[in-house]
Amino acid sequence: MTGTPSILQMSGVRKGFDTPHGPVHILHDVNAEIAPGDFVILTGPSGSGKTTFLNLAALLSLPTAGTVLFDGMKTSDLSETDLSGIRKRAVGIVFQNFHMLPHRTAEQNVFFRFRYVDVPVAEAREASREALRTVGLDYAATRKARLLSGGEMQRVGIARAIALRPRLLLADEPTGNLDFESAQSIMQCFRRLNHSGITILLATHNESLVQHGTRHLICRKGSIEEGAIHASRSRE
Amino acid sequence: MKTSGTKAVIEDMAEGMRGQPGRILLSFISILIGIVSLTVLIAVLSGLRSRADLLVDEFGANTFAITTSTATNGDSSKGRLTQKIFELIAENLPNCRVAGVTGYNVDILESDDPLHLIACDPVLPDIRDWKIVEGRFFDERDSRQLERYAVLTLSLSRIRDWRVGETIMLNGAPFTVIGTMTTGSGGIESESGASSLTIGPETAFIPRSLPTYWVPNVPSEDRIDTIFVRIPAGGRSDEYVARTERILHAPEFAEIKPGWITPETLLERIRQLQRTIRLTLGSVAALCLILGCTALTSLMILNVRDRIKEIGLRRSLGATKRDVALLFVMEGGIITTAAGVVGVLLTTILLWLARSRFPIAPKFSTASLLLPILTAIILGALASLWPAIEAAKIAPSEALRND
Ligand SMILES: Nc1ncnc2c1ncn2[C@@H]1O[C@H](COP(=O)(O)OP(=O)(O)OP(=O)(O)O)[C@@H](O)[C@H]1O
Ligand SMILES: [Mg+2]
Repeated sequence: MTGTPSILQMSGVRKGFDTPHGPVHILHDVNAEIAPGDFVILTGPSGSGKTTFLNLAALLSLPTAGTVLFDGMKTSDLSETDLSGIRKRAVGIVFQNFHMLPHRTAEQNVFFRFRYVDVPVAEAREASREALRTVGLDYAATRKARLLSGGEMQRVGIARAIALRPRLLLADEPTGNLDFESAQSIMQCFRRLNHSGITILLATHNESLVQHGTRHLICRKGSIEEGAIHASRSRE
Repeated sequence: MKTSGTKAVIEDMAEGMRGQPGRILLSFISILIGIVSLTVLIAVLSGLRSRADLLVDEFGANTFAITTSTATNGDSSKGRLTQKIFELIAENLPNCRVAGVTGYNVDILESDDPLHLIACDPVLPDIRDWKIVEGRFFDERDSRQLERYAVLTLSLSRIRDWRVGETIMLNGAPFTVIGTMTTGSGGIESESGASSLTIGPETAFIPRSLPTYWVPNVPSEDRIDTIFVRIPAGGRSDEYVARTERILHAPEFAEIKPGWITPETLLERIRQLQRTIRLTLGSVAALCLILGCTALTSLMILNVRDRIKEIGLRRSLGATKRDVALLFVMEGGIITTAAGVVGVLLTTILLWLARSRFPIAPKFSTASLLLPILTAIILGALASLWPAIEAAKIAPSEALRND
């Protein structure tokens, strides 16, 4: 425990699912903490439970057992409205599989971030354009999402997640569809966002991305371990 | 303008509409047919209702009449209503106004067709709410003094060009015209079939007290076709009918088979018509609406299934369960509301174009136009409620899963 209150704190968290073949346990006894300003890279093999972990952090699901504290609030005690309220304002998510509205343009997709948030349209529009600029996609703003390449969609997804400047940015495999160059530039983008004060939790199975973060968590056999940061960058 | 405002809602609607155009059309059309039938039903029924009101109005809401089956068939003197019965009724119902009516056909000089003549008591126009146009109706005194006065319907006076003050010959006997009046539209005859109540548009009225020597082939006789009774305002006509029935129960009147005409019996035919129409058109409307709702529900189920990821996305962006449910309820509602509005407009136009073909004109009011639209809105919301609730129940993390 550090002196600063953490954004996210999990203790004794377990998460399982009921399947037709009986219950499966994906996460058991997860203890983790994310402090404001962290840029956490979460690695782990496919199917290890990274997305499951991110869903808990995004308040998209609740733990089977244990406690998840978001900003000190126990998520399982929060009402549906409170959970929605936090998702609305404090959390931005980049999805592993984009989740675009295919018939709307790139900019409209980013603008959709504000659908359930009461902000003036002009302001939201400006923020959407700014977010598209940040991910270097202003050239495709008026293109329909279904006509974008995978990498472009990924960047629209990032723009949408950051358009509202969330307190916690969750990114699930954000470079999975990108070539090396684009991946590098996206990671640079995440670093800039992190510098500007956004806390980031990024899940990937690509170990080489670890160097971009300030912390490394490893998802293994249903629990989360703290990994070492090898590269030059560490928490300054 | 806020990002969660009306424009966003409309864009959301558009999102749903592009999925299943064929199914949307199917639900739309069946709801449309249902709404058209419903609108026609309401318009026709309210046309009938206002005709019924008119009929009761014309007859008099506080009025009933007694006739006998032999009233128009002159040869049997038994089983007729007579002056004695008339007096008994009048005596026993002291706070009612009672008038006897006897009809004749008489020859006139000017035409080969006989004229319909009614011999009646002076209170008849009061009982029936007929309006004097010019001059006056004969009164009790005229009646007692056996004045040979005649009052004409306005159209008779116009057709024959008989004016107030003129003397006319009825079966060779001179009568002085002292007034003209209007006697309702003759709706009673066409709806009720109670011909003994009918006052044709061309009729002359004379005091019933006059001896009938001037009637051809019929010697002085004691016959009353119909007795009208106007009960006091606020009285219950069934009570008065019962009292009159008791009077006629006396053994000496055993031959008389009275027929009772009350606002209720008058409306019987209209009621039958109303029931028939309600049943037929009503079931068409109900069936179409049920079909439409079923189609809409299945459309919405598919719609929800197709858009699970979108639901997950919305939830991740802060939509509550309620927001998600509302999205689908509104989409369903929009389809049926559109069908409702189009249906009502279409029906109004069609009925207006065909209005002359209806024996009883359909009637529109704000309520009869709003009711089908309201029905459509409510049905749309109901039909999509269940899929919408299912959509709201999907856990966001499940909705976002990659399969
Ligand atoms: N709702 C669910 N019901 C049943 N099983 C689930 C559910 N969600 C996840 N799982 C299972 O949990 C395991 C972990 O899934 P998760 O998506 O968290 O993995 P991941 O680490 O994100 O994998 P990847 O790198 O491929 O995205 C998988 O075996 C998956 O099948
Ligand atoms: Mg995953």
